[in-house]
Amino acid sequence: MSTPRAVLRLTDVEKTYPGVRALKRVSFEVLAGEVHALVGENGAGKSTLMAVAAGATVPDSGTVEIAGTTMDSPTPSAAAALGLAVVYQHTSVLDDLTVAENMVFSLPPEKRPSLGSARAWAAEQLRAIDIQLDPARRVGELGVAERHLLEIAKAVVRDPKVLVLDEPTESLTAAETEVLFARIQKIVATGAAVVYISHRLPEVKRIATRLSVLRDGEMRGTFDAAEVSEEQILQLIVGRSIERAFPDKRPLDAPPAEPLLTVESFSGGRFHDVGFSVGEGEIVGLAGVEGNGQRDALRALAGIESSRGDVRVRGAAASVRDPRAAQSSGIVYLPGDRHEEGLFLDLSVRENTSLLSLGRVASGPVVRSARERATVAHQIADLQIKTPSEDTPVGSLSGGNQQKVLFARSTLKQPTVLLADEPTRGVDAGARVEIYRVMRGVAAEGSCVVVVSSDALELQGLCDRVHVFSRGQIVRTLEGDDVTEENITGAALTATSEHRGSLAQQASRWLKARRFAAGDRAPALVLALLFILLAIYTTGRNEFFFSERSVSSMLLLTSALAFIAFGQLLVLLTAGIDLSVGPLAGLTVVVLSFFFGLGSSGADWTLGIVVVIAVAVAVGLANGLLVRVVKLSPVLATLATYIVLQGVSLLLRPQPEGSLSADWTRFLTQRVGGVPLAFVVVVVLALVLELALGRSRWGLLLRAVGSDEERARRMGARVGLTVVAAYVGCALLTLLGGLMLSAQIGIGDPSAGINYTLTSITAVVLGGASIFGGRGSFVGALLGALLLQEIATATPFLGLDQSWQFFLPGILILFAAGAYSRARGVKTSALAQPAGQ
Amino acid sequence: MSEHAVSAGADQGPAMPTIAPLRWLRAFVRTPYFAIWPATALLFAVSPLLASGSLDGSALLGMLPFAAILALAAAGQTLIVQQGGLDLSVPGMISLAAVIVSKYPDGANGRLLPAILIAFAACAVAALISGIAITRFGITPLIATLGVNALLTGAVLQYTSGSASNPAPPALVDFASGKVAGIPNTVVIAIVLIALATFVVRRTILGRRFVAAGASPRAAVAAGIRVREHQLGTYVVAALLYAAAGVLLAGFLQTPGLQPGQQYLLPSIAAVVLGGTALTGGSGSVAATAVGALFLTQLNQVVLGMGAASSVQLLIQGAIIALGMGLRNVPWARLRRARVAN
Repeated sequence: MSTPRAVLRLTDVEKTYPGVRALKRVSFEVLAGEVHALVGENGAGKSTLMAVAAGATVPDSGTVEIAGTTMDSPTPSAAAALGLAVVYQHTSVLDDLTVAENMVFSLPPEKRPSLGSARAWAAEQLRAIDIQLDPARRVGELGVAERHLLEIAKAVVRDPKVLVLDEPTESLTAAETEVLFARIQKIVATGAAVVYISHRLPEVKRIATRLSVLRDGEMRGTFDAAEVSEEQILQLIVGRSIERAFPDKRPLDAPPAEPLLTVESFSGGRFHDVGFSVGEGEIVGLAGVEGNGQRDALRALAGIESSRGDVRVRGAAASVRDPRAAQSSGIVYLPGDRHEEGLFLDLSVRENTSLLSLGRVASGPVVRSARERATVAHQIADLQIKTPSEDTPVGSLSGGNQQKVLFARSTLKQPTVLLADEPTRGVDAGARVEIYRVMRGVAAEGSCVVVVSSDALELQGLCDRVHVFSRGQIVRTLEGDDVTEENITGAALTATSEHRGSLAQQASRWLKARRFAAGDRAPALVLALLFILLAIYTTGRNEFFFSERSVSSMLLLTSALAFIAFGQLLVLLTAGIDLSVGPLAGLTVVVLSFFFGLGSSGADWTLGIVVVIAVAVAVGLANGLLVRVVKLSPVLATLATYIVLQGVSLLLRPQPEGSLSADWTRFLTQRVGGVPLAFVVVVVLALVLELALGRSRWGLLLRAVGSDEERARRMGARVGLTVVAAYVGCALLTLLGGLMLSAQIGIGDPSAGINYTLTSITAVVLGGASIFGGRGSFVGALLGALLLQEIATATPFLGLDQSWQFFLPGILILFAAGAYSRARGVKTSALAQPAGQ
Repeated sequence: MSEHAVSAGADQGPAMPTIAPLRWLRAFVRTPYFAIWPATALLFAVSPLLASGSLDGSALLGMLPFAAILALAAAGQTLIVQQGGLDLSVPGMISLAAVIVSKYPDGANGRLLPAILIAFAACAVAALISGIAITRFGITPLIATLGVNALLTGAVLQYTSGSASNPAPPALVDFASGKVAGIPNTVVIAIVLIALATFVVRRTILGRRFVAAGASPRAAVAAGIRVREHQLGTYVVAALLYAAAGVLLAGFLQTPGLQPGQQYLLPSIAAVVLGGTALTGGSGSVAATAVGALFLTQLNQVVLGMGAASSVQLLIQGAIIALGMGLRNVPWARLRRARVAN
């Protein structure tokens, strides 16, 4: 089979994970110009094999050769450099960046076009491969299908010799699939090869030149796609030996069970018109290739995803509006994502187990400790959970025991209907058997179980009946002796139903307006408008407001705040926060008061500037290192520096003293054509920084790191360095603010500047920055600072008392933050992230 | 924390034959809430050596009310932190409660009770604004409470017209400086409220759900817990604790001034952190926070007693926070294992 035209060759690859031999001496070869399909069941080893090819997984033995060169030390970047590109099913795009920026970022640094020309470059690339995406759009606004297309575009722009597509049609409609196939043909026509991983045999038959089948980590063979039938492929895919012990099923000749759960015309986001019923004592499986709606239907029954339709428990209408409603109808859900949604990892086994059934171990509102411990101990013994004690944090248990805790919690609730999502994911063989026993036990005790599993063999061994989903609908129901791995997999793989509804969006005028509102420029526009309105109103009430003196003093005061706000924004972009800016600005003033006093000379000034720069750099480094190296949360780290800096200021100047030389003040407050020079500098700096944030390499890096640290790291960003640099940059900008502050107060006042911490955050947030990092605008921050200062200046002119200097900013920030988060579609509340993160 | 011992004592679990209180102690030592207790004991032990007289009865009686008031404020902050938030509205809440109870009665004891009720109601309303902004409008807790703090500060200025010369009514002043069986009333109130908070958090169904909602909002939603309602409620309860701190502070200071709450923001966060409650939310200990507040207050006292300037006080506080938290972040267990492996 070997020809010199092989662009990807894996030889005798072996990979063992604890307890599992994932790949057993697999060899695999892909030729230039072919579409090579890789098929197999869930867990057959396809993903591991491709991870080995992509350098993401290091094999125990065996070699990987890409375009004729053997990878000696496999890393993702080495594989990419040799010409392999992978499009994963789970997208790895950065939400806060635009389509064009994501594409640029996927290239190795030396090949990146300048960011100024990025949009044009991206548009051209997208046109070449016939993908319709607006390069200027922010990825966070894209739908699933569009994200996937972007992933493909990201891979293709690297001009790969081998392109690996992992389940590329899962979220595509039939029309979009056709377009994708056309693109694939174009790509292979240039001599590149495509590895096409898919569950869908009809598609595979159409697109692939050759196909290889994996089963249980073993290569079953490579065939010409034209020469094998779907049935033959299926024969090779299924047929794992049953090595697991399953409890007995409900006897086939048993009298028909009373239906406990009845579902009719049940529809939701990814499933349509689903109907089935489950009787007492039965275990029913929902099967299908991942992403075909079976899991969504289960979650909708649990009340987690929204749905409509008729759900009945014991014949009575049951609300599944939310999880709480589902629970009171007797439906208990056992989440598939154990770590994120199932368990409270930091809490104890006891707290996790009793959570759903606290009423049973309490007298009134008070939890009875003895009763709780006894109950939990009973569950631990019953499920044979291995834990040092019931007070052990559940996160420290093994996967199997964690899963058993979930079962202990769910069964303690005595559900009428137990919904189990991937009940044995990441669980060792011994624990699996016990989990199967528990599930059968639950069913036998007058309940019923609905299970979603990606393991067809598990469904075969466990279920009395299996409904197979494809693209959101039940396409086949298997019962009795028909519940076999082969039938389940066959029904799922050969289904040709199509995804309903198009994910492509129409670009209407309304949509454009929405996009603008969600963009970075909108806040600046709104602030500018507010600024002008307030100026007009105030001038109308009191013409002195618009006098040169008042305006120029306002602009001067703004410049101090604006510099500090710019610094704050740098840190906020990395998803951090710097509370120490206020005291640092104050310390700058205090230090200056020692060098810039009355009668000081030029030499003193130089030395003074050097000292304050040194102080700022030291503070920035301290913050950065506390955050990155000591791993304190940014709030804590900068809180500590806040306190220390304030202490140092007080140490140096216990009381305000040390008047600054008038020359220095005059220097800082000089004007050009009536406008303070400092304000001109601030405006220029805002524009430069704004441009750099959008167009330069460091700007991109900063936003990438703030958007998603892990993904940015995978794309080659030096996260730690970027964050530390942001804190140092913040300190230096704060230093500039401190200089301006010194001109305002003219004396070494240790408490000067403290208010700037919160005001700078206010200004930056008004300017549209996200506290979660990744987005913000320097021009917005400038306008935020300007508006805040205008409010402070205008209130006396308007005859309003001092309280309005607080009311107005307070109202502004609440409305602004609320409006921005609405416009950007941020999920509210329940998932709000902790402030310190 | 003590009811934990009671609960463990009541249980003769079959699996663990060790004597219950001993087992509880051993478990407690491993929690992050333990360290502040010996640290505080150590501080008190060395206090007289550093600053003579800092353990005298009069010194303690002067220090304890401040510790109690800080403990109340920090207890509220702890609850917010447990819900994954950070409350920047502590100063505004305390200040507003303090000016209301000093200005509204206008020196008349008879108007004290309505004044206290108004103070509590005002703080609760402010907390509802924060809470709704956070749970319904998706505003980050930090930003929401920053905004609400500005509103509260505005309200204080509006209500007092910017001048604060009203003394608290005599009854409140007497109460705040009074004692029960030799213990200052402020301390009694703090202990009662903190014990109550601890009991509710640790021992009731409500408390369990509150902790779960903070530990993992997603998992809590999946488990059928009304996360938003718990968060909203937490902001209100915290506000009531701040209000209590503000009322007592007004009585203790007699003329509280305009912004007596200003100096409580950073120490309230510092006390939470020293107590061992993680800023990531979930479990926490109001009692450990209270001990953290005691630690901070006594530390100030000692440093002042040594004749050091308030600047040194700040330096030491900052260093202790950075060091204390830094030490917690060292992966001790892994280091120990590595040493064993070698």
